[in-house]
Amino acid sequence: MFVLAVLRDTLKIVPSEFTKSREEALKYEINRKYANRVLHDIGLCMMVHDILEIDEGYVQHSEGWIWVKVIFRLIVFRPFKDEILVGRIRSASPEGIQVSMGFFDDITISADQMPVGSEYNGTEGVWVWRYEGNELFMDLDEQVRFQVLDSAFLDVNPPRPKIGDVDSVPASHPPPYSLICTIAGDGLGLLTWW
Amino acid sequence: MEVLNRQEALVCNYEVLMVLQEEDQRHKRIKSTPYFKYPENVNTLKFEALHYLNDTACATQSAEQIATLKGRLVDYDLTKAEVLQIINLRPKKAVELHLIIEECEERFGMDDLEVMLEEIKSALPRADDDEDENEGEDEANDEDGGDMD
Repeated sequence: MFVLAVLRDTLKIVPSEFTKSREEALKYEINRKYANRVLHDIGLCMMVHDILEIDEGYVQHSEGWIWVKVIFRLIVFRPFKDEILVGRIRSASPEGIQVSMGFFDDITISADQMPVGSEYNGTEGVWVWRYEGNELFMDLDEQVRFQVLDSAFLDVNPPRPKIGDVDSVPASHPPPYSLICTIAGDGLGLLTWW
Repeated sequence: MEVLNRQEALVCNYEVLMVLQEEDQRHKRIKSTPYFKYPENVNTLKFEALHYLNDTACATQSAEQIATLKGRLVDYDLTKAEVLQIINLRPKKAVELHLIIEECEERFGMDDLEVMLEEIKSALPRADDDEDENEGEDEANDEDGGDMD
């Protein structure tokens, strides 16, 4: 589920970090800039893996820090198509269920990707799979094995409050990176089923 | 910022866990430094990712175990993605292998899969392997009990 992406960027080292080794200071800066952020068409950036090249660095006149060009490898979360993953059911609705892996939440399993014979139980608020006379409940927080069908990258702008409406909370915006998955198939679904 | 290679390599969960643990230890060492605030995004990601990975098979793996398993799987002619998923998910049952391996029925028979599962189990041992075996035995005993009634 993780890949290494090679990136080149120009980062600055401020004087308070001059005591650290160059590599340590740069790793800190890379993590600070990229960790837990989605890069469009790349995936969810986790942590820096290692640094490949560092140039000498230059100081711009009238500034007090060093700009360094770095080439480094970043660990990125980007599952491939048909990959099998495990997560926990976060929420359920008639449209399907949302699964979370803790560090990544935008995993959708729509109603048509549920096992054949399942339906949404409105009173309990969960999906139920009717299989061979048994009623198997898909309770929240249960671990499920799912398969990735597709991923969607959305180049989103930050949400802006409407003009004149100072107190309004910005409406929830679509996630920049989301996975469309399925649990219809042998071996998929709750871990306890198989 | 420029992306030189969108996907240079696939990494297994174990390697990512190692990187996260290293960063976690570094964090603990510098925690007491005055005037220093650890970046929130790094902290959140590290915490959540460690929490998730520690709950998966990679938490009990080692580099040697993974190398051993890769050596044993070489003869099966699996793709890189299939080997990676086997390492990450550590399947215990044939149905899981069917999910991971494409066109599984055509490439492997039930016996091959059983052998593969045994090799996975011996290369990547876990403490709860015995628990599963005991559960299987209990179920068999229950069935016998039912028949006697």
